[in-house]
Amino acid sequence: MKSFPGVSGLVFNEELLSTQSSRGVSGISVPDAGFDDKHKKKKAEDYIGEKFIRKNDPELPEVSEPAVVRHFTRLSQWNICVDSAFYPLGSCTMKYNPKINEAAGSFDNIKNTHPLTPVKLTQPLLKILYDFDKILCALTGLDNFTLIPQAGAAGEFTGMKIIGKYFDIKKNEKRDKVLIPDSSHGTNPASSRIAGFIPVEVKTSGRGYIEPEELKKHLDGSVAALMITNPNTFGIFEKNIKELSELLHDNGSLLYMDGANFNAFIGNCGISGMGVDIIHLNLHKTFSTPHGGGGPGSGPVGVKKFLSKFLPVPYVKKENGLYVLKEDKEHTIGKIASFYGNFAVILKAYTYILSIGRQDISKVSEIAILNANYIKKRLQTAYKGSDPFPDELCMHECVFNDKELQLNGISTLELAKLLIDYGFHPPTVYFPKNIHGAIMIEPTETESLDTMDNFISVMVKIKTASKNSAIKAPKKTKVGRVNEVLANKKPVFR
Amino acid sequence: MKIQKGSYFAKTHEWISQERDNLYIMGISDFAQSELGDIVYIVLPGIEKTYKKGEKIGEVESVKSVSEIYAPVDLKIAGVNLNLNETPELINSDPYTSGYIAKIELLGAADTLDLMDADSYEAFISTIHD
Repeated sequence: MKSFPGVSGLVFNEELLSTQSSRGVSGISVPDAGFDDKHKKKKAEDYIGEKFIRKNDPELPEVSEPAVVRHFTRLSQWNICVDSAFYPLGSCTMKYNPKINEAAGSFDNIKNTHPLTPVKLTQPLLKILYDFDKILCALTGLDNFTLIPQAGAAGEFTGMKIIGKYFDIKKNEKRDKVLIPDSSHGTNPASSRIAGFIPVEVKTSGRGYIEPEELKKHLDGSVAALMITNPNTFGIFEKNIKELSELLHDNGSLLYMDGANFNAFIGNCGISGMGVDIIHLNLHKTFSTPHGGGGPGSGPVGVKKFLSKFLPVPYVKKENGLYVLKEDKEHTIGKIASFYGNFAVILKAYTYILSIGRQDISKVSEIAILNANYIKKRLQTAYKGSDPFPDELCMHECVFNDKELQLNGISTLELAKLLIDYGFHPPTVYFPKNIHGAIMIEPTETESLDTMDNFISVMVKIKTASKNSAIKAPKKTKVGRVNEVLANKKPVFR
Repeated sequence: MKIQKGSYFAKTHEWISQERDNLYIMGISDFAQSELGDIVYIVLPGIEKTYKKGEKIGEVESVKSVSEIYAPVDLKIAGVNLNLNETPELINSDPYTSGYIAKIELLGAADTLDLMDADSYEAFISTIHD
């Protein structure tokens, strides 16, 4: 009998720390310093205006060290994370985050460095930024990266601002449209809109990618760029990318690539050779830094040479053997975040790449693609009619619709909830929107054959689950099925 | 699946029904609401605003996703169903009557409407997701 990670067990209750507080309890014992207030040379009032001085002590929880440790340990046990379970959340690349990254990010002399420390004292850190730019250039074939954007969508926004400025200054042209395939990431229309463009949807063909004929329908003098996610959110490679880029360039438009799915490409495909002018990468996806729960992330933006002068500032330059921070880009879009981004995230991604090495980093992509195709192929047996692109190989993720599930009256949402009780994080559901009841699975390269076989056997099992069990799942979690309608309409924030 | 006889339907699943003369009521179809799932929020169009056919006039948000509502014809908004602000679930329970979205005036001639009648719409939705 096969055993799955999800079992019933003792789940601890835990109250808010403030309700566990008892006056005078402390985790540490501080010896009496041996003098009272009247011996102090200066008082708080000597530094701070009277009206700003607190009259009562702050209501901080007073608890012992074990109480704090149990509190946070218990809270963490209510959660499911990549350290505890298979996490095939499509489009998010929830790969395992190697602990060596954390070790590098925790070095005292790095994590305690103030961002305003003079550059002479931060040479090694600036070298890391400088080298990391070169590494990303080597992996993509592009000419320059900015590491400042602090998330994927921040990278998209930065990229769109660069495109806007390019047409404003370089060409003195007004182009206000950005074409976005229906298979792109959900943030793309929002980022382009916030950057001042009008997003226009481009339809994917029945085979899961954009056909040149479809692009041609939209091309005119108002099109600034095509913002394409490649591989797209169906997990399919945009086979016509080169031809699309030529059509765009002939039209005076640019090609922006959302590199959120770069885990399928790393070092195996020249992004530059595809005709891409500008890209953002997600270090928190492809390069294994932790994410989920909103970050911190990092979304470097890379460009071809002709767009370099538009990149945000500051940037790291090497001058007379010294690394310096410069702001002298001719047409820079300016600052898009404080200092130079999320340095610790960049450092962890840098560690990840160096710990794998140039030769093996491309294998990461190969195994990620192999794993996704393994799941796609194996699930095709049980979910025969549910693969919208049965004849296409997928890249790093595969997508199914809910056709087979519905034969048994089970919805995609119920499948997701049922999976939890077996100890698996659900895949992405109901996205992309044009796949009915979409189930988007991305195993990443970090999962073993054994884990994937377990997952597949559960997926097969769930297909014939009883409706009664489906509507009640999950049962083994701390919090059972939540009322989604109520949570949306009357959210309780505290 | 309920398909209201006498109404006209767009491919984007909005319906319109004549109230009198040039005044019509519009909403989204029973099929559309069932695909969306539990609706939790709606962005209604502005009164007196005019829209061209195919333009976005509002949004419905369900627990699954956010979808756009498109103008099924060239129209002017004569009134909106303000009850939906408080109880958007009316669209789920009663898409053709109390869950209507807006009252509209047609801006083109009624006999040139490029919409489906109930039977054609039924045939149209049976071809979706096959």
